[in-house]
Amino acid sequence: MRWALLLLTLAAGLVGPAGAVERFPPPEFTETDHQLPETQTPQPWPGWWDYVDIALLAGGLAGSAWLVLRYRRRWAIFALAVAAVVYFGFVRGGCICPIGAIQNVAAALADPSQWIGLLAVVFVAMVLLATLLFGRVFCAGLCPLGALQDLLALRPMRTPSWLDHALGLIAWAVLAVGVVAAATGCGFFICRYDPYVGFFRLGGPGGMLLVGAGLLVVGFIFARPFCRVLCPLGAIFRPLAVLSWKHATITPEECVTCRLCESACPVGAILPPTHAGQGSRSAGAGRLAFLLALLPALGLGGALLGRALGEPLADTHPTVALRDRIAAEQANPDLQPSDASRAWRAEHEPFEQLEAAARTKIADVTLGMTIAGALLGLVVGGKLITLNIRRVRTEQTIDRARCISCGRCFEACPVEHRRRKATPGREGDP
Amino acid sequence: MAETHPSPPRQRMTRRAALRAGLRGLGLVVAGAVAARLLGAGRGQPRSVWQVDPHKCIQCGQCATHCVLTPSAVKCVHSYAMCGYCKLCTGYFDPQPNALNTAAENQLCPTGAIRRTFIEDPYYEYTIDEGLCIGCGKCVAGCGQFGNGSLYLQVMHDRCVNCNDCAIARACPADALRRIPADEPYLLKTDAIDLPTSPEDA
Repeated sequence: MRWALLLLTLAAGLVGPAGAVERFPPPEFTETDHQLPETQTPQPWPGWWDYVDIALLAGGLAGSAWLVLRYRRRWAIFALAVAAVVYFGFVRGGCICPIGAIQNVAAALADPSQWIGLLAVVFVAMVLLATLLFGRVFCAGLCPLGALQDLLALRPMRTPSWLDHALGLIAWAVLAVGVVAAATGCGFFICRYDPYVGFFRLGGPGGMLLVGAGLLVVGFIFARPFCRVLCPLGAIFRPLAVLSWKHATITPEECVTCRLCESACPVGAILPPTHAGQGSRSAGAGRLAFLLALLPALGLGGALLGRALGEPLADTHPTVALRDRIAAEQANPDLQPSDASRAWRAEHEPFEQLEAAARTKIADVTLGMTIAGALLGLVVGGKLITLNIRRVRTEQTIDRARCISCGRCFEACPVEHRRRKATPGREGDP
Repeated sequence: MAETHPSPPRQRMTRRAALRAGLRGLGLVVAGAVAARLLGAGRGQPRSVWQVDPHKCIQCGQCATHCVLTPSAVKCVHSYAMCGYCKLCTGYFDPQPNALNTAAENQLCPTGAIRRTFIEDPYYEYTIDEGLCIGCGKCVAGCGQFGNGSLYLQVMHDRCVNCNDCAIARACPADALRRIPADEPYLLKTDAIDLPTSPEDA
């Protein structure tokens, strides 16, 4: 009986249109009073946990600022960093972090209909605010990626300053591409190629883990490679930290220019005192004028480069990729249709519509990359200019843009040690 | 700025410090305005999670292979109220089974994650062993093609790490993954039985 029913419905299913069909009526249990089991639906972290995360980040930022500016102990900053790796890294799986959240903000700004989580907006706003007020205290004690690398900066070597500045420009390029890709819907590249998140999840694609492990090994001698070379949030932080209201100082007392802090700094962020009569003023002014004149050329060059990279980036967009695939399948009938093209054909949408959507997308991405490229060119120009402005320094000075407020210089400074001994009762005070 | 000031107490703000303060204020205003704009008009929403829309899913098998977790956070779930409790379950059995028994060669599931229990003649119950399920969707395709469609894929939220950029959503050819509020994190099928959209049905 049931076999006949099966065959009947089978045939009906094959010829009938798609739609709501009940092929087999639900059973009526007569011999047993069998109860239907429940569908298993394990629950995620609840929605209100957002507020817990926000409170923890806000508290952590305030704590980090206090440790860096007031308490001034390396071990305490280190302890906070360990706590951040444990909670924001391993417990919360490294997601969502303020670095990735800049993409959510970019996507939501570009497309007002796009969903955005409260957490993404508040996280980004909070870390930017903290940096404007206290310098890169987020990098010091709260960033799970930064902390992971900081724990492994075993024998940091001193890199030449020019190399540091040059490598730092890569972070701006990562930011430019990441923001354009997110804003145009090509994807969240910064998350996709996050080298460390695999460790927090205790698993992931082999390539990701391999790159992450490689970077961690590099980090033994080149401290915090991701932060200094790749981090897009770090790039935004640099100018903000320069403007910061308060900032970590090597010692609040008078520097004796012993230069011990310079060797202690893992990221080369301590600038030595300048010597009197370094170069002539007129030569410096001439160089500055030349660089200012170069600025438009750098902007234009960046714009052209960005424009050229627009199309390759647009190819990663799902619509453009689907258009390319359908076009290839139409040109070559032997090609097996992909799952995506099969799903598209089932929708019976004309190819012209897809083609038009893909064209619009390519134009959007190209425009975005042109603007981003021009800005990147100006950043390069700005970097050259700031490197060429002479500043007179009579003591060891922190380069606020590069300082990640880790506090290693506090421990290296002999003046600081004397100060701590002199004021044992109020040792936290500057 | 070649000379250094001897810093008297209550020194007036230098030009550079004033410039810094001005830019800092500008930065605060811009950041505040952007945050207000994004949070205003109810756009900043509470936590959301990824979920598979079973009505869009085409059972391509990428859920099993693209998740950053191994095994995937996507699993087959069963809406028992929709199930026909068939003896010949096309979600459980291979299209040409040797016999209607639980021998491995007759099963569609590559990991043997579906348990078949006799309830009463002619009804059998099919339960999913979540620990074995890899989310390949082979049973979902079988059940949807010839059965009631009571088996379907869902993201299991005790496993999912809720990536900002879900690797399955990126790979999904049918755009079946989307973010939904964390307070109602499942898209469960109830009584409407939809045939999956596939070329055979079209």
